[in-house]
Amino acid sequence: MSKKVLLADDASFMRMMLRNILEPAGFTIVGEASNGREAIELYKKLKPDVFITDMIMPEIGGIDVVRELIKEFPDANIIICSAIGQQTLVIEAIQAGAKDYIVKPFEQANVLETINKIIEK
Amino acid sequence: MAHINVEMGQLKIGKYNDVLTAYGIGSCVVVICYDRINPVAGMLHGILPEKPAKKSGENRYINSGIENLIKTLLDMGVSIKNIDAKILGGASMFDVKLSSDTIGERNIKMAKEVLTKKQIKITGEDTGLNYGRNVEFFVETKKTVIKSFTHGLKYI
Amino acid sequence: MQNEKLTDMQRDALKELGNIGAGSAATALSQLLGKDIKLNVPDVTIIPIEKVNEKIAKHQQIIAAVYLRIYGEIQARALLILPQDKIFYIIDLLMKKKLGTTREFGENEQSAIKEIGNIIISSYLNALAKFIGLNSVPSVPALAVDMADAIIQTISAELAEVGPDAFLIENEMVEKETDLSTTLLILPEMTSMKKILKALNDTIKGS
Repeated sequence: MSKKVLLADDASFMRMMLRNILEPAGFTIVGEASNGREAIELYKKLKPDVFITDMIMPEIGGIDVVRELIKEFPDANIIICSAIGQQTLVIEAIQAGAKDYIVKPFEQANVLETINKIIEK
Repeated sequence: MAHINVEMGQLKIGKYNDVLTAYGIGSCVVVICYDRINPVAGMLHGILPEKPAKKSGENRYINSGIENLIKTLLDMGVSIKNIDAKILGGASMFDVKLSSDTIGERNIKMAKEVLTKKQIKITGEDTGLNYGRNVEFFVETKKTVIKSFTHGLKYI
Repeated sequence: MQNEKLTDMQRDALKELGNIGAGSAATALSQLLGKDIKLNVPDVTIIPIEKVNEKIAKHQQIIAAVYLRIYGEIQARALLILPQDKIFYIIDLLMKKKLGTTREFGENEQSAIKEIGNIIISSYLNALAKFIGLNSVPSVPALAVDMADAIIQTISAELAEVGPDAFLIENEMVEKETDLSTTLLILPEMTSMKKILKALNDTIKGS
C-alpha cells in the first residue's frame, strides 16, 4: 500500500516541489500545512506514515511541532526539510525527535533516499 | 521655475511656480504645508515618527520636522491660520509584516497627531497601503501628483 | 556609535567572510536554477543611513526584493534583490519549465521567489556558522515588488531606529548567459558586527 505523507512548509512552492518528487515515486500526499499549528492538527487527524516539515514557519516553528507531536506519537517518522543546515540546529531537531534532516536546496534522489531509509527502519 | 528635490530627512521651501519633489517614498512620510492664499509651501521628507532626546538631524523625525516646517513658514511671514497640509507615503512595502507595527503606520499616525494639535487642516492624503510613491507638489496651484509603479497616477 | 570606521584588515576579513557566505549562497542559487553563477568581489562598507539609497538603489528601477530578519548570535537584516524584468525567467528555471511559460505573478510564483530568498540567505548563514561558529536563523521571508528606492528607503528607516550608520555587506551574483544579476545584501547590526569581527579574529588565530 502506498505510504501516506504529510507536508508542512509555509512556501506553497516548496510543497509543490516535494509533491512532484514524492507522488511519481508512489507516495500519497494526504495533507499540506502552511504553518505549525495546522501541521499539528493535520498530523493528529491524518496519522501519516511520514511527516516532512519546514523549520521556520508562522505560528509554531518546526522544532516545536516535532516536540509537540513526539509527546503523543513517540514513533512518528518526522523529517525536517529546511534551508538552515547549521549543525547546532540540526542536532536540536534530532534531539527533539526528528528522524532525519534534509537541507534545501535538495536533490530529488536525496529526498527519496532519506524517506525510504526511515520507512525501512 | 525650479524643481526642488527633497531627500530623506530634508525640509525645503518652494515659492511661486516651483515644484517640490520627493522620490521613492516607502515607509517615509512626506508632509506638505502650504499657504492657502499665497504661493509658498514647504515639504518635509521624514523618516521616523519621533525624535529621541538629545538628537540632532531633526528633520529626520516627523514630530520635530513638522515643528520646523511650520516655524520656517511663520518666519517667512505666513499666517498660521492660512496653513493647510497634505500628507503622503507611510507605506508598508512588504507583504509580510516582520514587526507588528510598521514604521510607515507610526509615521502617518504621528503626522496626523502633530497637525491636529497645531489645528492645521489636512486637505489631501494618500497614505499607507503597500506601494512606493513619487510625489510632485506644484506650489502655485497647490496640486499634488503622485506616481507609483503599481497604482499609476493620482492627483490630490 | 557615530562615524564607525573599519581598518583595512577588518575590511579584508569581512570581505573574506562575505566571499564564504556568498559562495555558499551562489552554490544554492546555481543548484536551484540549474545555471552557472559567478560571484563578484563583495563590497563591505559603513555609511550614513541617508546614503544607503544612493548606494544600492538604482533610481526608479523596479525590483523584486525578498527581505528576512536574522536572529540569534548574529542580528541582521538580509535582502535579496532580483530585477523585476527577469522574474518570469527565474521562475521558469526554478520550476524547470520551458522558458516563456510563466506569464503571471500569482501566489505560487510569489511563494517561489520568497523561497529562493529564504534558501539563499539560509545558505549564507549556514556557511557563516561553519566558518566562525556564530549561529543564526532567518525569519519567514517577506516580498515587495516596487521601486528600488522605496524598498531600500523602508529598510533604511528601520536601520535609522537603531543607529546613524548602516553596515553593508553587498554581494553580486551573476548568471552570464542572460545577464541576470542578483544582489545579496547583508546588514548586520553594529553590535553583531563587533561579535563577527571578534569571531573572525579568533578563527584566524586558531587556524
